[in-house]
Amino acid sequence: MIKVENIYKKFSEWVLEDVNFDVKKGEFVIILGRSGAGKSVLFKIMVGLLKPERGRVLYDDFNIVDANEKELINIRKKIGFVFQGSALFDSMTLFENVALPLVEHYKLTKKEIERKVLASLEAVDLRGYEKLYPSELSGGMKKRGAIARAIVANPEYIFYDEPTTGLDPDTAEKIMNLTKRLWREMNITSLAVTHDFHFTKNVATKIIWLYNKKVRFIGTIEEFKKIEHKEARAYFIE
Amino acid sequence: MLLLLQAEVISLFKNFLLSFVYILSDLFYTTYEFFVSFKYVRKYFKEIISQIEHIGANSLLLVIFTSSFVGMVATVQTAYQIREYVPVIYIGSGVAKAIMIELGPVITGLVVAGRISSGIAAELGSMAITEQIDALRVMGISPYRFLVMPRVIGGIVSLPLLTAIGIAVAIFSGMLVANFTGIANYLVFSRGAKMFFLPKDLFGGLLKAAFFGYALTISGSITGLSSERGAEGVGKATTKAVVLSSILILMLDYILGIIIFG
Repeated sequence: MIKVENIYKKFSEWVLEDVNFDVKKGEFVIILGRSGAGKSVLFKIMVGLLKPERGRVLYDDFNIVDANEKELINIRKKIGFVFQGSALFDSMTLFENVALPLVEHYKLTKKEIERKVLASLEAVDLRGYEKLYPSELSGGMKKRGAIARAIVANPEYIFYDEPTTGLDPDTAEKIMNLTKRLWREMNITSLAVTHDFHFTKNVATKIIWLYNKKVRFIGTIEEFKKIEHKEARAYFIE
Repeated sequence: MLLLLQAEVISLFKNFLLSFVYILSDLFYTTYEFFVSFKYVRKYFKEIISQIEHIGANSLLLVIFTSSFVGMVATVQTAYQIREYVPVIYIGSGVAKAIMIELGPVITGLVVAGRISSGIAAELGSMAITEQIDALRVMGISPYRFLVMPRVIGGIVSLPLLTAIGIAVAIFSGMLVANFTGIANYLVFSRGAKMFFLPKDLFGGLLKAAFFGYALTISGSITGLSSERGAEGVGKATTKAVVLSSILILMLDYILGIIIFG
């Protein structure tokens, strides 16, 4: 379980104020908000890439905000993260990209690594492309490659940063179905930040709505539909 | 008007001091992380070899080309300055010593810095702006261990090797020029070069080169990793890398010169 408590974050001005919520095991939580609402910042705080001015992020009661690098590595082994731009390493093949977390953190034989990587690529329908470099892959394939890398070490949690942004509607639909399938089949607690309401209503078991630096709503899609707030209604019009 | 100018100068000086302190802290932190990552040398051996090839082998022609001109210029300039007052045999001594102690390591360092330091900054800067550095961190992989350490070791190993070749090429080209321009024939030049040769000169020069290898790779790494967003940020990082590595090389040259030859 992840607990986010009283998070405050400031750059030149406050971007997050008093953010509180929790993510229970097995949930698919969507953090919904407009561009610049602080969603990605919140995600980076949740995985220890950014430090908040105040507040705590607890993974099963362990606060990562004050954790040292060694403790953070132990928590990060439980996390898979899919970046908005995929963030695959240009100098490595798809296979090497996906194998990286295994090579770095686990003492596995070459055969075991190969088996796990190929299984992971199979899960995202990228078998046969393992020798290609990221520059030879399409946007959707890169995204799927990034998902394969995120799930290869069997994480407990997977974070998707804007999973459908920048993709054509058909590819976005495929990515949406893939995230949903992985959540169901692998039972990974999943979190995504997005402003894509189509994605949200199709996958979310819980919605956290960020607006004007603060969490304005936590609940299911049905409950979200009942909000009268003008900004929230705008999602339905879209 | 004068007050405004004064305020402007003070603010410029303040900014300069701040950025100097910032770079210095970055330099110490990255050096610390480099030593901490040293225990992973065996794990990244393949990557280290590939960096030695990239920094060393791929810079070889450039170093040979520039060193040959360094040797030629050093010979002509030395001859111009001392031919009237001292026997020509000392031209070989002066040229060889200057190349081994100073010109070889410094020119090789500066030339390689222009190529490698900016390349590292551009590579790591592009990785930073496309979230690849964040991806490493979130996978629990230290970018210092994975990216910086192999490059810095590559620089420390490659620069003395390149410098040794550069010194040999420079002295040889100096000898050729001395012979063809009538300054001194092969025999006189080479006898002069051998006359005051001290192993300390050569090894001191190579030791300096190893430090220059550290300076130019660490400069590229620091500026690349702290690159700001966008293509402009990467461009600035590459410029900063070359400036920082050149300054570091010249500062280290002075400090090491005092320690080794002082």
